[in-house]
Amino acid sequence: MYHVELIGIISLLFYLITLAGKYRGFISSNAHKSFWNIILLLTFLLTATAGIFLALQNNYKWDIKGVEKLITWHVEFGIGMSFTAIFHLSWHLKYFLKLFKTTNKSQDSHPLTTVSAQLHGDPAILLFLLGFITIIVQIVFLKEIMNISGGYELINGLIFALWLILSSLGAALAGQSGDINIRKLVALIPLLALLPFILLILLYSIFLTPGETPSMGVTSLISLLALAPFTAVSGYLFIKLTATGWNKSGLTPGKSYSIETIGGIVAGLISTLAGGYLLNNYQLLLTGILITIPIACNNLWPDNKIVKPVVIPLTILLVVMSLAFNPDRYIRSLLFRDIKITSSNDSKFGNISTGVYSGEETLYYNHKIIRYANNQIEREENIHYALSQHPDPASVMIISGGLQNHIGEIAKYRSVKEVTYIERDSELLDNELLSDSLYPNISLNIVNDDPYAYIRECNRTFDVIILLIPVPDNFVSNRYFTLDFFSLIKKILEVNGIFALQAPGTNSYISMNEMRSLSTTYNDLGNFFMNIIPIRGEKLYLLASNSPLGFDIASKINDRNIDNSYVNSDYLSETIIRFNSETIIAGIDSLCSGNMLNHPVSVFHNQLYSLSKSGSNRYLIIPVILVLLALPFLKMSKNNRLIYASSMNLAGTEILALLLFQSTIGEIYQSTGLFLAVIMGGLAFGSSGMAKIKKLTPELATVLLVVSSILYGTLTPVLIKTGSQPLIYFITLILIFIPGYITGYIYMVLTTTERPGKTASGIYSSELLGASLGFLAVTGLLVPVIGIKNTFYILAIINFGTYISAKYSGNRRSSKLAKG
Amino acid sequence: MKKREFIRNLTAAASGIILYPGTITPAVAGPGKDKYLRVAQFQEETARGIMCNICPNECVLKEGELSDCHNRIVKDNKLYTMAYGNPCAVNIDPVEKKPLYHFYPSSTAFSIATAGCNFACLNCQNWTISQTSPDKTSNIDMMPDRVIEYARSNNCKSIAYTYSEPVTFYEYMYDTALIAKEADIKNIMVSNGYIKKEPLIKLCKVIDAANIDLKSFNDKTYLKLTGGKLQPVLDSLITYREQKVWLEITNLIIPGWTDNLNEIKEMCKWLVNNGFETTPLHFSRFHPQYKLEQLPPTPVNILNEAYNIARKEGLKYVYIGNVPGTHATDTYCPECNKMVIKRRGYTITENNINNGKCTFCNSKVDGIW
Repeated sequence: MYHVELIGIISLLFYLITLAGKYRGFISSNAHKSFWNIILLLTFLLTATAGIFLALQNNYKWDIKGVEKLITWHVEFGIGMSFTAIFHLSWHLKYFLKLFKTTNKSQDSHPLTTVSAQLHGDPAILLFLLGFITIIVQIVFLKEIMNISGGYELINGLIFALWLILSSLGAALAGQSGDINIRKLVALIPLLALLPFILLILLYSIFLTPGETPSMGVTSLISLLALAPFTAVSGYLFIKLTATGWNKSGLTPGKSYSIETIGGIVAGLISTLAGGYLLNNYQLLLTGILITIPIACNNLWPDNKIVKPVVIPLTILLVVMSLAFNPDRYIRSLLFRDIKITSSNDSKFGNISTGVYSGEETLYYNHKIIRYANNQIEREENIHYALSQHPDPASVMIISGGLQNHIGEIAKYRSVKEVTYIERDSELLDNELLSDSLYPNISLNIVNDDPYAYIRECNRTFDVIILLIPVPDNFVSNRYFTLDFFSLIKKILEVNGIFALQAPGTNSYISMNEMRSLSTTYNDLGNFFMNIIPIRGEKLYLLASNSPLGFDIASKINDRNIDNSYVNSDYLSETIIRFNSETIIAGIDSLCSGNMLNHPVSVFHNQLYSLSKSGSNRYLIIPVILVLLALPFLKMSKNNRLIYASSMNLAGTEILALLLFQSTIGEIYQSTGLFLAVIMGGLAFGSSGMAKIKKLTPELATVLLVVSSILYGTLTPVLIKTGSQPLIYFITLILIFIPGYITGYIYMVLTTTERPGKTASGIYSSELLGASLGFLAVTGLLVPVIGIKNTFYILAIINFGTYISAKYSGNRRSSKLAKG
Repeated sequence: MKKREFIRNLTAAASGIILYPGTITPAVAGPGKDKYLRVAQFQEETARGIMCNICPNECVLKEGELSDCHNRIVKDNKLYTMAYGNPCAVNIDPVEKKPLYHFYPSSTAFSIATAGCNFACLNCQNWTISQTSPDKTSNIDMMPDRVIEYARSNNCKSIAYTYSEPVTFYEYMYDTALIAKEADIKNIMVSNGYIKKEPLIKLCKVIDAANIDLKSFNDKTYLKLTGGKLQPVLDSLITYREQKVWLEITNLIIPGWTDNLNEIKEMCKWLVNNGFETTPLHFSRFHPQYKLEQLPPTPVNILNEAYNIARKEGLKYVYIGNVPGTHATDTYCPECNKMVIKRRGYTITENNINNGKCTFCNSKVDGIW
């Protein structure tokens, strides 16, 4: 089914927005037309390219992977192109009518306008508020989209990139728009900040059926549509406020940038400190937005008599209501639709929601089911496949997955004296309703710690270790499927102990991507254990040991007189288990191995597997986007190129730092705000001009970026090896501050010109485009292919190349500016 | 023989299990690919292209185009199946896992599937093979005669065409079933029942038993959930019954999609009114799969309610699947209502059927025992 109505409505909606913007004077007629010309060109190119591929496939029977999906794109973009063409026709209707009459040349007037705006109030305060709101929205949106889409880090890069592209568009429009009064638009920003979330929920229900996890394509589309109005307006307002600041208060663009960034820092810090501890996601959003309203109103209408007596008390009331009644529960109910959400809380690591359907409770962690009622099969498989292999297990370690679920199964083994359960999320532990008196013969040791860190420091051994962290489809879970982790497991496992984990490949056929991931884990385990067998049940398990392992699981269970509902001879046959296991082993690819913290190959196999659910290899679209983003680089002026490359480095470093952080410490849900705050701190410091270094030209600053990238790349293995959380925090934050500072510094130098509004618009747009490229290139291409360390080196090479090209180009203006 | 194949065979020999010497079909075009091409049955030339008449999708394909089920292609103005002798999934399963409870209980089925399906169910548990084409999966070289060979050497009573949609590998299934029938190996089809009458009648001559997924009793739900329609499936059920193929029906209950008890009641009424009262009906528990990963598993109380509705409407053999420990896996005599088969999992722990009759009242218990 093709989306004729939807594309039509969306196209019309956006057209009306830009048209209204033109008539209200927010954007110029040229900008309006340019925007739709670009849309027409893009839809035309994509429709035509898809058509050519289809024709080639048809004519020459080319076996192009995913070609059958091209027809969908061909048609969908064709629909978009048709609607855009109608808009174009409306512009040129006169021309076409004249073709049938007499020829009479007329000239459109496209007067160049200068960037300025009419505004009451202090631009500095408004810039601060703009930065504050923008970052609150960004953080909450990132967390929400991660929840909805399955928690892949690639989404992070995608959202950052979309954000920047859309803001860049807004900034570019501002650069070409006329002198207008932006007071009402500024006042509307807090309300506009809610729009991405309203649209997110609305689009989620339009595009997806109940219970459906969106594909990468749908996630991108929803994000694009949901973010477009707010981000474009925020980019637009930034330029307008910068121009106003310059005209009204003599604020340089660098200083304006710095002030906006400080707003972002405050938002980042607040969301880090409050989010996950005190406030849930939507509470954070609402509170953050609400507190800006009276400040903005007071600033915009200082003499208005309604602001103080009405707006302030109303805001306080709404903040109190948002804090008292958890809005997250109701909003999440809209996302889960048929499922009644009885609780929803955000912990440091993610969202924990409890849903009830027809009286049965399901526990969701970041929208993924982690516990449900009547789960005998899962809990028995999780425990008995591993425990039955050990002749006399006394000490058992369970890593995540829930203790309450499993302790009953473990207790069926009378030899078990001690169970250590590790769970990093204290909120999840709160859901474990365990009483010591239930299992008097077992000593329970419940550990609230990062399992990786705990095991690294652990100095005792266990008979059986069961890893219940799901398959490595993100950087956090991947930590537990690496060579690094297996070596730690070996250290704390008894000589003849058993290690069990869940592996990818649950169904009757293991797809190629699953097999690559499975093979990697299988081969990596082979470095530490003599015997490894896969057991295919409802899930696929890998058992590893230096002792012999058997397929006669049902016999082992019977011999111990264990009464199971599922893992027993009624369901399991040794012949079938053996047959299936041998089949799986025969399919193992010996070339797949080496999943490491620094090079998380399994993540990408599993992400490709997840992406394949949408029916085509849309991962291939990433290189295309990268090329499209990189193309403007060739046409840019030297100054724009410098900021483009430095912001690409900054974005790349930021995402690499997050991934490294995720790989070593194991969480970014909470630290995203802190990371953003530190980067913005660097940007603010650099762009404020406070730390202006006389001889530091933008070219030399680019060299500093080269050095910092090399330094970071060199430190990556050290950070992974040390595992020291304070050290990782310290070095990571320092190292992301540096590119932040340098990018801010370059921005400040380049925008210190006689026409700040116009120049700032171009520089700002280049900066945002460069950052988009950085986010996408690193997450979508570089890390999967060459790993974290080498990606830093690539960033260094790109910046060095930019330095060389800038150094030997004729334009020396920026150097003069820096010196002057 | 390549080194890789040699190692694989060696592994098989060492383990004492007969494994298939698998060759991976290249995913790209090449001479090896044609080995698995066969001229498709039930094709018709039309003014718009070649029409495939196997299933109600009735794909009309031009040169080089691929069918909706991903494994039929037009070459030189002829429709070919790409799924012949190249299964991608091969396993041995208990027949109860299909599920078939009244067909040689406690036996094993040699189960095969190629890539491809004429539905696009949002909850498909085998989506990695059903939503793709045979040239994109890792396949095993296994022509029909070898399937029989392996089924026999692994002591399998039957061959099950399952996992993906066997209708889409019709020719491979038919030829294999024909040889199997001669070798006294039974043939089982686990299908969505989305097949046209003529090919189905032909197939029924070689198929001994079928489990058909009746996914919903609402046409709109059928379309949204699977991409197919309800009526052709109902028509197929009647054809199976008329052709005297042993039939069992599965109804997967998906929260929010197919758990409307009124619709379940309507479905049961239709089954009773159309002569299926002695056809076993399995209500199966949904588990989050494929695109519906955020839905919870079916609450057991809904399954129990569906079970009670079906019994009340007059269906004689009703079961609940995917819930270990439930009482609803036992078979009761339709006459005296005493338990004639007690099951625990795939094992029969008590059997009170003798020569197909209840040992308590001597009434016939439907099935092939």
